[in-house]
Amino acid sequence: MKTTRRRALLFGTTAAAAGLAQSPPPQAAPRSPGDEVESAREAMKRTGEQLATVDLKSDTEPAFVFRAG
Amino acid sequence: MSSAPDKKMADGNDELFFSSIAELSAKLRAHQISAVELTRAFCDRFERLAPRYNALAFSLRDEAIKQAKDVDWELKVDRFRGPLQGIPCGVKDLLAVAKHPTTWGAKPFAGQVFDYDAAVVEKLRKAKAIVIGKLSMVELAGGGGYRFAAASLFGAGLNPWDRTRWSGGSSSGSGSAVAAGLVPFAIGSETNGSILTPSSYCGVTGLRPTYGLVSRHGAMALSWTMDKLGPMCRSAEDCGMVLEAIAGGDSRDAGSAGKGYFHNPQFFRKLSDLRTGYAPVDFEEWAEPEAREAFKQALGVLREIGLPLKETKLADLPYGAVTSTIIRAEGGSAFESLIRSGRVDELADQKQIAGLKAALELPAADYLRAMRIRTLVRKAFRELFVEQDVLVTAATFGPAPKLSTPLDAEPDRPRPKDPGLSRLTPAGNLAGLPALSLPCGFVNGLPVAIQLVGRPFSETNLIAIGMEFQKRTDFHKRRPPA
Repeated sequence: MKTTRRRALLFGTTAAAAGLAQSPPPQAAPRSPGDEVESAREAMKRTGEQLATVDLKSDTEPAFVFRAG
Repeated sequence: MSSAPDKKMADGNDELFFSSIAELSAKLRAHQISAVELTRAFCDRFERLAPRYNALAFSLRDEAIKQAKDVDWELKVDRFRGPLQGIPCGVKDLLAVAKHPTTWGAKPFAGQVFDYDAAVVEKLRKAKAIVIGKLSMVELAGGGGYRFAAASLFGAGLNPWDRTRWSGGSSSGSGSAVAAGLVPFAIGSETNGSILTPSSYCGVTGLRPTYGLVSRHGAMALSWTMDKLGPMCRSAEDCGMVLEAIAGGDSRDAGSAGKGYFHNPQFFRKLSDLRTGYAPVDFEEWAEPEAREAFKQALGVLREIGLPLKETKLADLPYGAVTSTIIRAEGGSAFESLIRSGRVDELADQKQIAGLKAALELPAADYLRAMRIRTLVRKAFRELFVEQDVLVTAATFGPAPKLSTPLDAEPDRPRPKDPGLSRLTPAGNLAGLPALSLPCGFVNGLPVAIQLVGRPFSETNLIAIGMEFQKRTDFHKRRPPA
């Protein structure tokens, strides 16, 4: 198939962009994937602790509404 | 139509590419330029320059030219459809465009193709706007949290004002494409700052509509209770015109409010009646030192306009924690199959990958608690808006960061003790409130912006203030270096 400039532009972008994405972004301090997940868990734990500081009455309903049927 | 005039326009007529929607519409109606000529000129420029900013996801040239021919036929018989008729535009690559790739900025979805258009794309086409391309974005709109600007299938969004800096996220391509004059306007999305941040960093005017005003049918879901779609334009007036075209009820979107928006400047309220709350600490301490003068000047312009400014503050609630918990819980669920399949590891940013994996472990009790606190957030805003009509703070506290700066880096100066309105971006998103980002100055050649926030469905007030602000300033008209 003839590859025109247009075709290259239309269909080549993803591949080119994928290539860009494959080059690793700069890392401040290299971390293993396991460390990253552990760090994300810690962050979730901390946000959970912040949420726990708010006094909630039992009749404070979540901010979504269930509608029957 | 010969290609010679298009090339001439593309190469030598920057005025055209930085014209407002109203100016372009006037040229089309006066037959000074045809829709096909305009579309070709913008397609040429978009395809040539968008890669420079990593803003290009896909060109939709062939379809666009076809639609432009239809518009020319209508204009020939003086059938005017509205201000967007024949105006080229771009949409963030989280919106489905039938039979074209919709990648959500993420490698695992690089081959994804839908057989239908997103509701916003349908509405743009109904208004006869010409969608010329899809614009890059942070992968999955950054739902798992991300550390680097390069968290995208398309590479880091580069800022037209300085390509060593970020264009902001997650609507990176929408911000840079409008700023660089590649499209007259673009559609972005916001869950928690994704319209306001790139608008501020790129110096464009961005509108986050009230939750439910614009249908999300056909848009990537990150957080069902927080996702919004909105325009990123050259001016507040342009935002009003685009919002009118894309707003409206839609039974295909469970969050749809069933309301529309009508851009009628003759019905704007008297600006001196709009009580405006602000917190001096936002501009004097939270703002980066070099940006403070620009914010001070912006407050001065708001006073000149006649807005009665009064100090105020937000209720003391953990807005950031509530926001991140809701986005993690809903995003983790929306992308559960991606995470469990292991393809999540193909994403570009390690922090994003880890954030999504951990999200599946988020306790239901935390999500429910966050949603219950959100009820308090809404109540607190209802009370605040008894005293105020509009709130104003910085859209971002300084200009765009360097690409190499980790986005989760600790600030290099201590946080002020008084929070002021500094948490208005997460708080406003939690409450589903509309916001307008207005360019208000430059710091070392980089734009900064204020944000205006109002009650639900009060977009008219924000646009009215924005239009008056932009009559008195020219920051929104400045152009990045060629």
